Amino acid sequence: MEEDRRILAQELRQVAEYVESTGLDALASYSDISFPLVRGDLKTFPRPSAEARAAERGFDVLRQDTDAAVTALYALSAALDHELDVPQALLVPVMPYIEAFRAESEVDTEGQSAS
Amino acid sequence: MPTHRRQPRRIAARLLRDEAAELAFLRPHPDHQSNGEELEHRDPKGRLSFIANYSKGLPHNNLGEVNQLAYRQLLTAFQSESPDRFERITLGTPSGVDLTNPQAGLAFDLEGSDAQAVTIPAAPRIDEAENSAEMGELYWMALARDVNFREYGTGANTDAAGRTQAAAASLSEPPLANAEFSAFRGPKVGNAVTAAVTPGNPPIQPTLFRGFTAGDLVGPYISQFLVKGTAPPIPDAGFIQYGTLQINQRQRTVMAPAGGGADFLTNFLRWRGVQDGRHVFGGNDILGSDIFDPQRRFIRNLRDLANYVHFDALYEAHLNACLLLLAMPARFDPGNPYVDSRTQDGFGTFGPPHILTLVTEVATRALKAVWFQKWGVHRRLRPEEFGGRIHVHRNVAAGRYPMIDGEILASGVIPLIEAAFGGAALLPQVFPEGAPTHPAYGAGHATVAGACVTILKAWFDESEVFDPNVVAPPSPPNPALLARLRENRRPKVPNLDGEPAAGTPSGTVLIDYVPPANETSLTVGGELNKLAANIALGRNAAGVHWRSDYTESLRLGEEIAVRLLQEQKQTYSEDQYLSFTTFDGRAIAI
Repeated sequence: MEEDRRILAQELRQVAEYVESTGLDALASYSDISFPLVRGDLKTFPRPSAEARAAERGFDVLRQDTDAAVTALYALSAALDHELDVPQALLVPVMPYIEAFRAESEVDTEGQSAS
Repeated sequence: MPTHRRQPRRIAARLLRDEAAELAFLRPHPDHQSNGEELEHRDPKGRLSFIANYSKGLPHNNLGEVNQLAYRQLLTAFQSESPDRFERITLGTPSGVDLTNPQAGLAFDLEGSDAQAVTIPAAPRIDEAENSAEMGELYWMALARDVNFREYGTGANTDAAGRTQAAAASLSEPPLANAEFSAFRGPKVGNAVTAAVTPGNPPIQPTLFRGFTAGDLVGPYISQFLVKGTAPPIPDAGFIQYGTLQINQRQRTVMAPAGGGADFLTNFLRWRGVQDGRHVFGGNDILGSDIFDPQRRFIRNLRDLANYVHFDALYEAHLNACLLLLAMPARFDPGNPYVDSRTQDGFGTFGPPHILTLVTEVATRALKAVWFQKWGVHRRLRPEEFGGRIHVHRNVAAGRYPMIDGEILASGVIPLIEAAFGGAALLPQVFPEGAPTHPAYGAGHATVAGACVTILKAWFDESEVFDPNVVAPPSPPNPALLARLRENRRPKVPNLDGEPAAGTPSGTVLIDYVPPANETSLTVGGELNKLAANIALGRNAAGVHWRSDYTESLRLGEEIAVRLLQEQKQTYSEDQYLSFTTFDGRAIAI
């Protein structure tokens, strides 16, 4: 079963590096997006569109979540390095990143096999 | 938390006022220094003549020199600060014009700087080269009033007489060819005043008749805030949306002399009568009247600009600029607490109604301060009055004023003026009545411009550019909206005759401004500084102010605005600051 698969410190480090090199790099490029002020007049405070404002806040949310995942992954790998227990509960926040990493690794492996 | 915030509201309100008063009290009060001429220049009989001081509206002799008793009454009134004494000043004629508000600078205020807590340096003296250079510039402005700004330095069409190149050469610093004034303080490239763009990387920008900030020297002479509109659906039809009303940036202007208009006070007898405040002299109505153009036009030249500042509501251009910035919309200063707020918009505080009020409320404080400088300190004569001195010295009582600096008397611009205006060396005026009846230094328009523009620079993000290409597509996509936002930022200039189509009169439509290669973008901050220069120098173009009236008054207005913002800052609940770049290029955060 997938849950029984043993997670090693090395893998957590690889996941952290994967998230950094893909997620954080992508977020860095998003910072170039600018949203024009589309409202503003004698009474209305100048703002981008509602959708754009949500997107601006979304960039912050994504960055915070990604930062949190990367730091958590390094923390957990350090715990494993010290041969300490990592209960399943602590893996919950980073499992989506681990699964994304594994899925992409498998795709890469399959691609190499096919070739 | 400020002390007053920890108190019950009633006590807090009083403590806040105390703190603001303390802030104002602790600022140093400067000494006010005049240039001393009032107590130096004497007539042939050895009496103080006050010939370098303002006296229009008081009685004068046949040479236009003030009646000394009347002038002393004015001085006595100021020393006493007694309203009765002001009422006892002898005027030139009972049926003439009154003195304009000499007691304004004696008023106190409950917010911002005290009117007498700020000052400007001593004005240039008539026996100094700087004053000569300033008068030289005014004569050249008079000769070039009808040259379209876009034709400066071309020697073609409205500049066919080549006056702008001649003016630039004259105002440059010797030993450059044809340079005549060693102390001209206007902008130069090296020692040269330039009339037109010289292409290059970067291009050499024109400096003739321009202001002293960096933004003044980039792009068209006239600020975007004096030409652009915002009204949908065509932003650059030149109408500013003002609620449900619209403001047309095309003004009712006056005709050029070549088209049936006139320059005024170019006849010595008329000039002489107007110094007494008269409308009638020798049985004749000596004041002409404006001859208006039936065609409304954007500001094309110095005469149009002078006409604008003849009739404006003083802070009108700055309120219009605010309307334009709000409708653009331009970004507010990063220190505005609501720019990054997730949950709130500003409105009565830090929103549009706040800035619309603030940009105007500073104006009356600026006026009180500069009126003290005018009447209470410097009492500098108007260029119109100095033109009379030069005319008398050259053409009426030869050699009457040996103290006048030689550079202006030797300048080639005076014979040009005399040739163009029937032999008189008087400074031709755009306004039929000439200068208003208050001293020249500082300038009311310039001080208000300095104050209002400072408020606008503090409120809006000065780095915003007039460049349609910087506007990113909105999200979700909206091509019509994108087109309008880009048009709001497209730099414009009024058309020349025959642009964009044959038969189109000049100044009736806007066309795209095509910058020279490698010119930097126009910015909100630069165009606001240019707006201040336009408004102030427009008064110079009319013949009623000197260059230093503009430069020093802008700084005075800036100081008034800063102090107002500093005191208001204490009243807000929000965490906030406002930042701007001063006219002299310093970054300030309040």
